[in-house]
Amino acid sequence: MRPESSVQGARLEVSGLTKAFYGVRALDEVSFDVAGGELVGLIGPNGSGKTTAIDCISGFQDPDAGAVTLDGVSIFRKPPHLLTQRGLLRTFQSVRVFSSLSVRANLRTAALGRLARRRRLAALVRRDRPWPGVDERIDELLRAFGIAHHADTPAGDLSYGQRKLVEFAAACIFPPRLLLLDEPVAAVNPTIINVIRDWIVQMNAAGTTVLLVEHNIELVVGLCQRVVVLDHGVKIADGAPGEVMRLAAVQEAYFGR
Amino acid sequence: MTITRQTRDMAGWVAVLLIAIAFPLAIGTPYYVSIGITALMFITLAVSFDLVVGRIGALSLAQPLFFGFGAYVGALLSAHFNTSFWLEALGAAAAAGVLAVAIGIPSFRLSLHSFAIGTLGFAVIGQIIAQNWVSVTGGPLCVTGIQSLRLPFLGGGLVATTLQQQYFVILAIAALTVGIVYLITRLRLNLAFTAVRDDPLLASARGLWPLRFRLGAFGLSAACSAIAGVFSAHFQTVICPDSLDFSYMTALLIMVFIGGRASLRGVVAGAVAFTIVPELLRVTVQWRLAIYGLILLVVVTTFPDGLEHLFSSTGRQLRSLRRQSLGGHAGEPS
Repeated sequence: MRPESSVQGARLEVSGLTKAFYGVRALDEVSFDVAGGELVGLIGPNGSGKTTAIDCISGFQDPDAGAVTLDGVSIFRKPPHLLTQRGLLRTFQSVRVFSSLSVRANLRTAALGRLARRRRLAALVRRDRPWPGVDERIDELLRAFGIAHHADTPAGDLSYGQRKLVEFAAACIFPPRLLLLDEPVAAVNPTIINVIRDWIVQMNAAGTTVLLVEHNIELVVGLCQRVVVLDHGVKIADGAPGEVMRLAAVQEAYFGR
Repeated sequence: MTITRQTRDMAGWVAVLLIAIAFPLAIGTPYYVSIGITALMFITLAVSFDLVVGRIGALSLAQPLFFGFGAYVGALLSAHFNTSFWLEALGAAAAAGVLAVAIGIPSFRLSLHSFAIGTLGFAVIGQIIAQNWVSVTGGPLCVTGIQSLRLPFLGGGLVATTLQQQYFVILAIAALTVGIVYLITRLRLNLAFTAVRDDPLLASARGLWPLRFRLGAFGLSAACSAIAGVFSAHFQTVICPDSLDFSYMTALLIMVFIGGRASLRGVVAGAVAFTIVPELLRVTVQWRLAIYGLILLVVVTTFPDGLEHLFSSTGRQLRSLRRQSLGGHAGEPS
């Protein structure tokens, strides 16, 4: 259960990121950096703008202002599929899989999307048969996640937690350079939480930069070297988890005055 | 297991093709052959329509536009320049593909239901142009003087004048269309199409740009429909604005939805069934439409997933019956 190969984690720089919905500022000039290979938590109460931040970085929302760079190259307002091909992968808060495709087909599709343009075209016009080089990786991932016996099951027929694992495996079919996780363990049972936690640690150890949005503070504090705290779209803290959680502003944001 | 299933599929299609080839040779009655031609035209249109509706899940209502566009391109080329079918088909297919991309780029920005209305808008524009651009289309006076369908080949070739010859031309077009879609379902491209249909947002997160696959399917579908249109220009010998009529669209929707979206055999069966049923009902002129409607209702309520559901469940039953009888004799399932 280890990533296929190590990867050079990408450096993410976010500065002055602003996004308003109907006049309400979901993100108000938010700035933070994530160094290559770092594992950073992005936390905050409900409605603090965490998911909006992930959406703006990964191209699913067009931010109003600011700058986002990946290894110094601007990815501001770039469409998601281009970012994925640069190694920026994300998962969704509400689990998403291609429900009519089998688990294996879901992962093969994910592999197709990660190939460089010319290789992808060549792969698309091949018959959908065993895919040397990719199927081995799929088997390895499914075994690691304990869902190998579901390889041929339509992904839509799996339980919520299992679909979450499929989504996770799809994002990691080739090790990402930057992984944005939007509440990976929300509404997941403790056994699967442990599987996911181990996997995050191993992806990170192999080099992937990880930005983790999560409500499970225990998980964030246990995993992350650093946390960024948002409240009402404003960054209120940035630092080591132990220190940050003691700050009055953070206490107040979470538990009220 | 997979190999036997694919071989069985393939054998089924070859058998259908052989029956289709034998049909006009065995039954020469012009009336039946012309019904066969209509059925094959609808197979071509329904299968290419399903490429958009079934495979990528976009309910386009612009399909008659591409058929009519192909018909006009073929009719005008033939009437003015007495061109060969090769040139007409190639020209119409390429132009329809470009037209589809031009229509697709703005239309695919719309969400599911708005997409249907947006494409319907383009279909209506097509009708208006055909009616009113009199200097080119002849408007309500139609395009006349369409020459016979010529298929020159290495100095020899064929001029399709008899009903039987025309039947074989449209059979080749239908077989080509079915063949292309069959091939696509066997490729990894089908994974990308299904991904885009199931969840376009997730597809883009996985690195697959939905627009590119949608435009590809839409363009290919338009090209195949346009070739059927070129054929219909020669078959009808006159092309009027009603070639873009919405009644074709209704028929195609019935064939694809009752046949079973994204099921090749279902859609082909749907196209054949709903060409033949209205013809059979000609015996009772007064009750024709009422009975047709009744049949539609019964089929829709009995097989909500279309004829494909009927096929797959019958296939499963047959296989389990065979396994049981084999088990009884050999005592060991294979």
